[in-house]
Amino acid sequence: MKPIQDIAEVLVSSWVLTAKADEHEELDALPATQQGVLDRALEAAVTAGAFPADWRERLHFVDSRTGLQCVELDAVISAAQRALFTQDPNPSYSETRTKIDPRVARLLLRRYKIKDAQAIEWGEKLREAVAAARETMRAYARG
Amino acid sequence: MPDNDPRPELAKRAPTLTAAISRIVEGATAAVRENLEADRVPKFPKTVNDAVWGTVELRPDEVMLLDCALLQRLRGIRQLGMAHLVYPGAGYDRLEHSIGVVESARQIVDALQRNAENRRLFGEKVDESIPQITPTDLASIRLGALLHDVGHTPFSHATEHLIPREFPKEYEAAEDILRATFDGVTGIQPAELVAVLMVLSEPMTRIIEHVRFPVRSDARDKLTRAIAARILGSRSFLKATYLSGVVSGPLDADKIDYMARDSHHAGLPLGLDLMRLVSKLEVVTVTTENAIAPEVRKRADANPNKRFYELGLSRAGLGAYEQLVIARVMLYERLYYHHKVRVAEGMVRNLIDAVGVESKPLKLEQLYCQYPDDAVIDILGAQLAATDLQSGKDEAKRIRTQLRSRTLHHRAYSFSSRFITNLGSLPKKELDATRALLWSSVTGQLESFDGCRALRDLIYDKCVAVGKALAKFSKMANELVRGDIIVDLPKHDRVARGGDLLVTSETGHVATPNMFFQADRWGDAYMQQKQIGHVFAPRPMMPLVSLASRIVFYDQFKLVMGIEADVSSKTAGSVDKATLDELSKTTVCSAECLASLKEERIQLVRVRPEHIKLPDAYAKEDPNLAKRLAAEFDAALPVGLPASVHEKVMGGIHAMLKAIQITEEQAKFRDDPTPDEVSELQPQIRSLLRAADVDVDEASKIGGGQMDLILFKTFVLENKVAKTATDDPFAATVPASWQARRYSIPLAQSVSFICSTYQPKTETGHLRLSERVLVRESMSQDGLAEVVFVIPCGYGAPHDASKRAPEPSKS
Repeated sequence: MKPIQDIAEVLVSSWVLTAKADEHEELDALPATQQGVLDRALEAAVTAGAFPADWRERLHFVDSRTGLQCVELDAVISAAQRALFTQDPNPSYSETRTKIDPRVARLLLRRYKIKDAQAIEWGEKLREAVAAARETMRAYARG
Repeated sequence: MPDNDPRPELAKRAPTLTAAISRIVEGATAAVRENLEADRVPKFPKTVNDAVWGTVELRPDEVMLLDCALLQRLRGIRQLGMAHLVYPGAGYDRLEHSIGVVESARQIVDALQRNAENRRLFGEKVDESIPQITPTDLASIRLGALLHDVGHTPFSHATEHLIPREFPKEYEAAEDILRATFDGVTGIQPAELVAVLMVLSEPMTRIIEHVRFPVRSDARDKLTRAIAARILGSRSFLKATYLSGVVSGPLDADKIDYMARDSHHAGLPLGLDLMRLVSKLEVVTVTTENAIAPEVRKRADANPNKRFYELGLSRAGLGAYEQLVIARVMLYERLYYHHKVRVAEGMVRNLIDAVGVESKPLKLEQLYCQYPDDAVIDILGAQLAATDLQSGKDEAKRIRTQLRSRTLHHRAYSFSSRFITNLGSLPKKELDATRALLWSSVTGQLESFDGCRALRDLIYDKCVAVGKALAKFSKMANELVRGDIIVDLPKHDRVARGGDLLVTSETGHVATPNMFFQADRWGDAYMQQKQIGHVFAPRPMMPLVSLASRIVFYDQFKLVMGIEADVSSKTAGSVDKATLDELSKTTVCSAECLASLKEERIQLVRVRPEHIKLPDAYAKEDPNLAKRLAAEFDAALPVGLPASVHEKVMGGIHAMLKAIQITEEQAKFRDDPTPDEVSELQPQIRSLLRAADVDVDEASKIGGGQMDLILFKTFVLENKVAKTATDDPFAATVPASWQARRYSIPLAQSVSFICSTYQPKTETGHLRLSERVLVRESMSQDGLAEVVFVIPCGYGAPHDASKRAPEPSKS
């Protein structure tokens, strides 16, 4: 079974490689817990064929009591935090800042023999899916 | 799936697993079926006294199941694994907990029933359509609560990882089938999956559907599936959907009971406000208007009145909820992850491993034997004999004795991301990323027990090597047993996902608790900050294991832990200067590792362009050369080198470039296409390096190959001669595996130099000076950067390559 940290490494690296050079901090953040945005985006990206096949099979998407949920996403986010790829939670924690730079992202991808271009393609698919998921969830955002 | 019944599919895709579980249930419930056939059936509820809840009432069907071996077996399984070795009171069992969950579930159901009734009768928005709880709903919750832990193996979570081991494919198939059958199932733990398969098994179905089984149910044929659904936290097979998370959910009876019970028995006061929490649970009306996600809206839309009902928490209960989350974090910190509890559980796993090696691995069915935990230790450790559970031999006996006499191992080495000390020289913007790069290798390796064992093996092998090299450690090394070293990095499980629970406001708005405060994430942050891994060893072996762990952590991960780590493991001062001086006369560790252990200010330095001092001719020919080499170093050696080794490598590069330039100017090998490696190439390079004040040793004098030189007593320079003409000398330069040679001093593991002569095949193969060096990642050895220098030879008359137009390196 694909280790959870492998998924975290490829996910965060792909995300980091598609950040624009002068990107504002806020834009470089993964939507860690916000309203299931990342759950939704991951499902869309995976359905569109992003990310390695063996870890696509490892992920399960469930219509939970609060909506679509990626069962393994909590563990993936925790693994990313444990491995120091992302920041610790903070008082306004709905997004998590990535802590690795493109150089380290490339080195992490080398562990899996994933080419930069491939990871960039996945990262772009994920960013598109995140934008779409944010848009979808905007209509449901209430306090 | 026909009628939403997973059993035919389970029998098809997980036949061996389901058959094994069916056999376990058949044997363990035989008495219940006999009693049913003989009409020996309890007619009235019974009450038991409970340490946490006081009086607990059990219904006749529950009493009937409670007294069979399937549940009585839980009397021997301690809820907290080996925690009783640290907290003497924490030895309660899973049967006690299972009964407690029945009571805790009753209280939750009562609270929700009361809330539903109030909502049907009172308030501005009276809602008469809230579904009533059916007898099957109630029976599935109570039996689900009673049976939710029957899938546990001895020592609870310490052996849970063994469950999928025997039939991994079938296990995964079963998981997929359950997800496909039961709606809304999120994570499934191994013991939970087995409990569900036990409930769905044919022998259990025969009991539940038996005409005399005294359960109150209006849909007996669906009851086993309803029980399975409750254990999984699914909303399937339930009329009152707001009960779906009572047994297993974000705020469930299981959690409420074990937190109260763990705290009570361990003697750790937590200040939980459970009564408040339970009383503030409520039925949330989810409509198409207030749905919080598209899927939720779709579910509401699918109902005739465009709404459904879900378990929720009143805003007034949020404080008690946050208290629960924080209390659970404290339980992890003080109880579950106490280092002595972790090492005792590691020793239990080692005992089971030892039996697997000395006898044979435990089968799934043996994990569900009827013996209590202590008897399992005695049987596996050959103190007692059993016909249905094998014993180990010497190693198992030894571990059994250690466990039974509470001779637990001690912390010989501590490691944590916050203890990392050797990255201080990096600029702030690179520090985080580089730390992540190094530390992620540790968390990745130690994510699984197999990874922990692999690292344990490396540490053990290093202990043996240290014992052979240093006399003062030889006795310890001889007495050390591989299995006595335990590597452990606790992996925090999320306390509760705040997004899974619904909270309502007076205006009917629905949200999740983490919209207000991220208590679960704060729990994560706390646990992550507190996370410390340990290498454990018997007390007499601690100095040796401590030293070996430091070496392995550097050589494997390039990590050095600071003094805080030593304070944490109480090993400060255990590796002294005298030991390091002795080590420097051996090859037990690499030169970089030795430097890192010795340096007062331990720092890894990445190679920058300004570090590479080029002779003028090179810098003039290619102004970007230093930049190119630094980039190549970065790719091959991304985390750099200890400062002292870095300095020597930079000095070596400068001297080698100068030597190549002088050789060219001397036209030394102009007429000889294949100079002799030993008598011509090597003396030439050696004398030029010495002339440049480089400390050069003949490798053959310190156990290495004839063609090698050792620079600065730190790294290898391998001299080679290409035997055939080539225009791509770098591709033709394949180093020998120098690591395999037996040197008598510590050498760098991450850098080596290679100098090779070659005869250009055509004119284009005669490289310019600045093209005669590159840095690359070794193809034969992970983590090794090769600095390759090439020298053209046998090209006859003075070559005109230098007349070519300069082509500066691309940077």
